[in-house]
Amino acid sequence: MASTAGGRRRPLVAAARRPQGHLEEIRAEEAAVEAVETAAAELVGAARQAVGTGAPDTPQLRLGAAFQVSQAGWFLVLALAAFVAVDQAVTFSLSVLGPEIRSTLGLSEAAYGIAVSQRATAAVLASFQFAGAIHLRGHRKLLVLNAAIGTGIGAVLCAFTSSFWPLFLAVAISSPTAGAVWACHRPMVMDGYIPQVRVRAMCLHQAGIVAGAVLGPVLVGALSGWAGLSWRGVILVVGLTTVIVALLAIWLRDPAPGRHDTDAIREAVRSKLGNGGAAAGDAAGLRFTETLRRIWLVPTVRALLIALAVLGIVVTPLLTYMSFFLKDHWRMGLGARSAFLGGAWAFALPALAWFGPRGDAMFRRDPAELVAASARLFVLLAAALAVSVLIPLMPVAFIGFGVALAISALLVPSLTVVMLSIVAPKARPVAGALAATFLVAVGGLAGAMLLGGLDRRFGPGAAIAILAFPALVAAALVRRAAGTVNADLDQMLSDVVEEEEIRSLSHRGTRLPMLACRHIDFSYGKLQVLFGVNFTVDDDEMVALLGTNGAGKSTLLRVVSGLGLPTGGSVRFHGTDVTYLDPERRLAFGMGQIPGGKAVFGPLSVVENLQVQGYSHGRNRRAVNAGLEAAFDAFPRLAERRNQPSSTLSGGEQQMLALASALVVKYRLLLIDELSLGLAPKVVAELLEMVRRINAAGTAVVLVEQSVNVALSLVDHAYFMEKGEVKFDGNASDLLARPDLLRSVFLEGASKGLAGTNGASATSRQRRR
Amino acid sequence: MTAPRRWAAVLAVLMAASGCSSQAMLFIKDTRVHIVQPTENSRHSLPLHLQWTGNNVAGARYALFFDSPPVRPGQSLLSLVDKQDPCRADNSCLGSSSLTDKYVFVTKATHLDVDLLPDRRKSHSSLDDHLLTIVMVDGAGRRIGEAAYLRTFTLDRTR
Repeated sequence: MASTAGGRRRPLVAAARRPQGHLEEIRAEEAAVEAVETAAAELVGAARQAVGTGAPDTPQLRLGAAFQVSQAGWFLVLALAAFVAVDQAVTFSLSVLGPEIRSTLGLSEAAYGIAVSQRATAAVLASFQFAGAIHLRGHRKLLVLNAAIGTGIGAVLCAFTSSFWPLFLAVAISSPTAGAVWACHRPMVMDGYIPQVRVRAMCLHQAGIVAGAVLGPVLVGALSGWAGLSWRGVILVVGLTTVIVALLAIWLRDPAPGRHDTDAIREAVRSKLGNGGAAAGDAAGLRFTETLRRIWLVPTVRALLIALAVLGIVVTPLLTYMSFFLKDHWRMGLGARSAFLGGAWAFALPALAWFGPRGDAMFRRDPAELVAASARLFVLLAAALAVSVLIPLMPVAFIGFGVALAISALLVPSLTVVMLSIVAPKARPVAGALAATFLVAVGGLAGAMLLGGLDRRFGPGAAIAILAFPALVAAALVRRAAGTVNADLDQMLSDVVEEEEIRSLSHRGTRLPMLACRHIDFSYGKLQVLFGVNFTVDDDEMVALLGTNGAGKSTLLRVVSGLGLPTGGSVRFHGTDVTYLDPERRLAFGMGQIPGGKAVFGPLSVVENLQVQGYSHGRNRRAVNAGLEAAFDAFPRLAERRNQPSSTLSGGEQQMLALASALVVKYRLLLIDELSLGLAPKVVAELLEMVRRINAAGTAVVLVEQSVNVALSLVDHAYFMEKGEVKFDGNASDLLARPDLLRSVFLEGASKGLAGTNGASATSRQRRR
Repeated sequence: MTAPRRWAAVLAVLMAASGCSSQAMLFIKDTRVHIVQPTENSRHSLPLHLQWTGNNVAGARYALFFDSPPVRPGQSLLSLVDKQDPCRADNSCLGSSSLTDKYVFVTKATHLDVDLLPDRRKSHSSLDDHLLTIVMVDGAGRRIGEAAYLRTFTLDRTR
């Protein structure tokens, strides 16, 4: 199989095993597949360049030129930056005008704190709503427009509130832009601009947030001081300004997801493989929750999300502690503190301008370099925090805090670009919502809970110095992510290339196997139990999956049926990627599993068990009744006990009932785990006969068995697994000629028993073909 | 319902939900009262001498709140007094210990001396910050208008 620079290139689809009578057909198919795979090997390398990395010698495009090439121009990022800037102004107004608002509304400090701080929670919830809406093909431009207008209207409503609950509601209404930042803005920046300029574009967007933090105090000061407005007047003006700025969204153009990366990869694959078909979409659409799980399975994303949570832990209490520190240590009043913090935030603007091109260059050379740089930034953040409070000079504190805030501003674009680059474009809003959750909800809450009382206990200076420790923890986490980011990027690219390859094969009329598991890795926590397992089942085939106890057979079945999600590799059903689909969605494909020893609902009667199976698979009453008849014909003993609770059946009868469900549902692929376990030989023979009949009726069967003589008496294609790896994949008779595998005691016993059944197996093969 | 009407209806509902009241809302700062002492972020020791000026406030009394939010506009100071408090019977609550115990003082004068304020230091190294809020109330102790005047100051507990 081909491999690429990335090292985790997955093979396409192995040529499905075919009957011996079709050798020429097999060779032709395999040749076609190999040709495609050879071409595809080069494509993943090219795909890395398409996502803006792996081309260190490419000269860096100037910002203007790159924006022009991207076709989004300056407007997209500047408009989004303007939305976040005014949102920051709203946030700042609510924060700094708190005492005045409280004095008007008669609210305690705690009540006001609850009313305002829930904005962050509402923003996180909003980010999930946006991500969900985008997942259902919601229009991001409209969401951004609504969010910005909602923020403005919420702020305007704040100006008219007269008690707690209206204020609470108005603040919540003002939160959507903060939620849209992660679910809409940043994915739009990723989609709007070519990969070579994304760090700079993201820095520009972040500059909007910083500009809001810098200009917010100026705006509030001007409106309150020079214009003589009360808090209501200030918030009304800020809210109306937000509504006016929101109207910019009318002229936004929503860039298509993946337009500058995965679409380019698909196009390259199509032209390379000669598939002139229409542009393909992404793989089988994942549901929202499936996408969440898929994203969480990416190690780098997981590490970066946790790092973002730690960043939240550091930044959330930091701003409060800084305010206390300035007040206690330097005796600064509100105005002086606002000016100090505004000035400190201003450090971030030149820092973003400096970092942007360097971040792009690092990503272009190697994404791991950008991740490692982010880890160093965390270390620098820790140092800046410590220096700010340990050296009792105001200029040092000003520079130290400025550097700390600048670094926190740099970390967001650098981590975001990396994280969103290694997830599929359509999953980016969901990844963004997750990032918002970890940064704001998890980090913010943990910061408030774990570090909230530090200032009271040790004083604000010591509390700030203590924040250096979580920053160092985040540095270690991010450093670790540098080791996995390339593999995860390759995995994402491989998924895209593989999808196109499959389309190419289909386009050429190449027959695809029913089930193709490729390079499956699976772990229970940190314990990996499957290692690069390849497993293929063809239409109508009956396959035995054999192996010692703990070899991973049942785990592999769980991966196929969706009860377990792999950490690597793919599961395809007739070419459709079902790797991360929920089990019930796989049922719709006709994939079903009979789990070993617990396949019936004990409290339900026999007939109810079968009906439940039928109806839950969407069969109508007539089809279910026909299935019931077939099942009772096949198993007369079940017919006799049709109204008996299934928990009262014997073990063999329960297995019969489980098997009978296949006659009602009519699976296309049936996975049977340990059918014969603990059953009498006579019962086993009866069940096996039924398995044969189900297979003969057109259902492909995978039989997991420890009893080799049982399994090999039925099948002609067998897999043998040991320690999570496939050690044998071939004809059942060939397995017997492998003494290295037959060393296991049970297999030796089986080989003796099999001599008598080989003839039956061959007969069965001939009958089927 | 046409789109503009729908938006207008939504806005009306939101405005209603925002708790818009008939109370006159202040969008411009009310500058009738000016706190002369303490100055913003100044440092003092007890007893604390407070002084302010008032223009166009005829008939009004000043209610001073230390470190607690004032009553809402239109709300009476009696809402802060226990329902069983005997001062309610003889209408003497406004100057009684029922309010001063809560660090709420009512006066017609433009100055006040305060002998005691709670220690609000979070730790011995931090400052004892206080927030003074002055609002105007009528003879019955009902707050007049939204105007509130705030001043932050620090008490030096080391002296």
